[in-house]
Amino acid sequence: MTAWHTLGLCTAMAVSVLLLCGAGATLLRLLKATKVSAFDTFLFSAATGTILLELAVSAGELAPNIRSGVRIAVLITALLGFPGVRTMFALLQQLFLKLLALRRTERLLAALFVLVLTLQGLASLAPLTGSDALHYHFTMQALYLADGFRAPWSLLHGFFCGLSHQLILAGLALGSGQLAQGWLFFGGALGALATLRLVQLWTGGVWPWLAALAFTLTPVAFWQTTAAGAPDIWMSAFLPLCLLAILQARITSSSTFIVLAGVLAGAIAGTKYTGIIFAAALLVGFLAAFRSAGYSSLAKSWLFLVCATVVGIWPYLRNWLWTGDPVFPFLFSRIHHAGPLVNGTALTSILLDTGTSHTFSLWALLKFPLFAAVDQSQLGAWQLLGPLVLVFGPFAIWQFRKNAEGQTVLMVWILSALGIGATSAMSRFLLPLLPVALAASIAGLALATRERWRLLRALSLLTLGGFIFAGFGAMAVYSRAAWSAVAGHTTAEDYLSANSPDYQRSEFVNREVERLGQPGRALIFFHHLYYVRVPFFNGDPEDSWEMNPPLLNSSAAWASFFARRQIRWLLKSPEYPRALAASLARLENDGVLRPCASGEVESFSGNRSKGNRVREQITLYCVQPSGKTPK
Amino acid sequence: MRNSRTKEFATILAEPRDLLTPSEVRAFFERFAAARNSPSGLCYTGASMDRRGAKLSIVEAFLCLWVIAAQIWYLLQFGPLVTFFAARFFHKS
Repeated sequence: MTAWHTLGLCTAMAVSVLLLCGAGATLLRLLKATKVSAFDTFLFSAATGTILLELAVSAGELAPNIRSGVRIAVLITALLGFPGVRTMFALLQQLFLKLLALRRTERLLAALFVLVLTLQGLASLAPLTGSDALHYHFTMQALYLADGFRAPWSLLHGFFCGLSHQLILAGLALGSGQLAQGWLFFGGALGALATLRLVQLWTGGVWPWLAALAFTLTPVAFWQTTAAGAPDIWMSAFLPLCLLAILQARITSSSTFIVLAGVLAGAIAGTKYTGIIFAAALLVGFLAAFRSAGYSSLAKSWLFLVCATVVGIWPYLRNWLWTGDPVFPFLFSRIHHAGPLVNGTALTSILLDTGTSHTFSLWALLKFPLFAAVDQSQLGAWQLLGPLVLVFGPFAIWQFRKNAEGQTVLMVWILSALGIGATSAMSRFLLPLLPVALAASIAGLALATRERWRLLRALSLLTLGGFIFAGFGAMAVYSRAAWSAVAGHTTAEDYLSANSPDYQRSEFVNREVERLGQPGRALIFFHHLYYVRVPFFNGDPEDSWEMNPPLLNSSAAWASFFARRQIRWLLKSPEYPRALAASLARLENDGVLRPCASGEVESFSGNRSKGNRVREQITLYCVQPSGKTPK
Repeated sequence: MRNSRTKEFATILAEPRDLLTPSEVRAFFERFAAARNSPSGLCYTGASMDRRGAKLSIVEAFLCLWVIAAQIWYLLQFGPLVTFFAARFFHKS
């Protein structure tokens, strides 16, 4: 990767984002949702354009040739974007003039905000290293492109892929995973801008900029915006924008903004299964907002619900058609929790991984609305949502409890947080709510100290400043390797070797299988599969339905499996999964597995963030055809 | 308080760019006098402070304590993690 490559990527990013926004602006014009400020029009255009691309790609992936289908979908969206480009330029000019008219301190904060977003944008273009992205966010889309659109039984996390994963599919179909990473970054940037806009509902001056900076520099937010490669970040943009659309609809009582709010709620629900909770809370907020305005809300709530369903239903419909469970495997595990064909190892692991089998505690649940729930048993940086909502949240509750707009915001915030706490108990799933919670908390503080409590105001500003300073430092430490890669100071190979989990294992299997040059697949057991270029089959019994330990307990069962899945090689790196170790060791002893290549690679021991690296033995076994198996 | 008032007065005087008419001068001084006598201080700037704000009330003291205590409590939750990253950072550098 060179600096010129990065520059080319930035240009492609800028053009594609402009076309996406243009497509959104065209849609908004058709919906007649134009009587809002330049900033609101820009935010809504960016979100609706992105949703349009996601829906178009969802249709494109059904084409017999998925790559061509997705490319045509991208082309159609881009063509729709052209008529809106002029509107976008006019909007951007207006926004730029508004920025120039800011007071000195605000202009300074705005400049810092732009700097932070630029740095994060650059970091997001570095080669992919995020753990979940390498496991399934990107891998699943690459598998669809390689093998066709079919149920991902050998990568069960693939069933979690939602609407925003279509951005990754689009990027990969166009031949650039990094372009897809750039689009994911845009979701984070839009979330930060939506935070700024939400605070502007209640107060002005430095506060909106401080809130936006606090969001962008919250560790979980900048991790998801830059290196994670996780499409969940788009929910952080859709949720506050949906709230803005609801509040706009409440003022105007127009169907236009109800449709827009419904579309945004549907996009949230379609992004991830946790999005259903947010969408449900938004529906409650919508009903409350209209009731407080004295409007009849039945027809309007139907309109909201229908739009949300039409936009968000696709991932659930797909899962239902493939498995009979729209939220596979959560309902499936309750109905078919046992049985000879059920992979209990995989189900148990997924339920643990998603937090759905947590032990319920009321005290822990009550901490969720204040973003103060910290799981000590799995302490990690992915829980660092910052103390600002805990510290300033009570001000929001106090200030907004009697105000109709504020009540709507509080309702969505608190209901969603309790929903996430009750169902998953994973605090990082609160990230989509962070823009709303931060905006309301900081606006609440600003209003509470507007005419009194100078010391408290000063202390709070110091707290915000300290958080932003510490966040900037953390971002610099976390992203410096990525910046070095995008600037061309570190080669992509060196960057991936040092930062990407399982990269050296992937390179070993790529090299050795290509050297052997025979048809067939490699059975691999490691977690991060994205950089495996040769045909492979995921052997992890915790994430691959057919790797069911009770069924794979004999040489005959293994032979049948190898024949069915054209498994020609098997990679041991350095050990087999515990549940399969005994039966695979027996295959080694029986001579069914013979070493073809071996070597030593460096890998992370435990969690990557701890940075412990170890050298380990790696062996590629050739599967002997059943006729040649020694007796 | 006195310094800030002086600053505000200086702002008022610095505002007009052209020569003032006598009525405008009178209006300025009336505005300043009104501000001085206002129970809430120099409220016309929109960024003023309530006179009650000059004293540290019990409520404000409690809220300040809350702001500090909540942050300390939150950071303590992440104690092992913060210590680990700090140690790693200083060890590397």
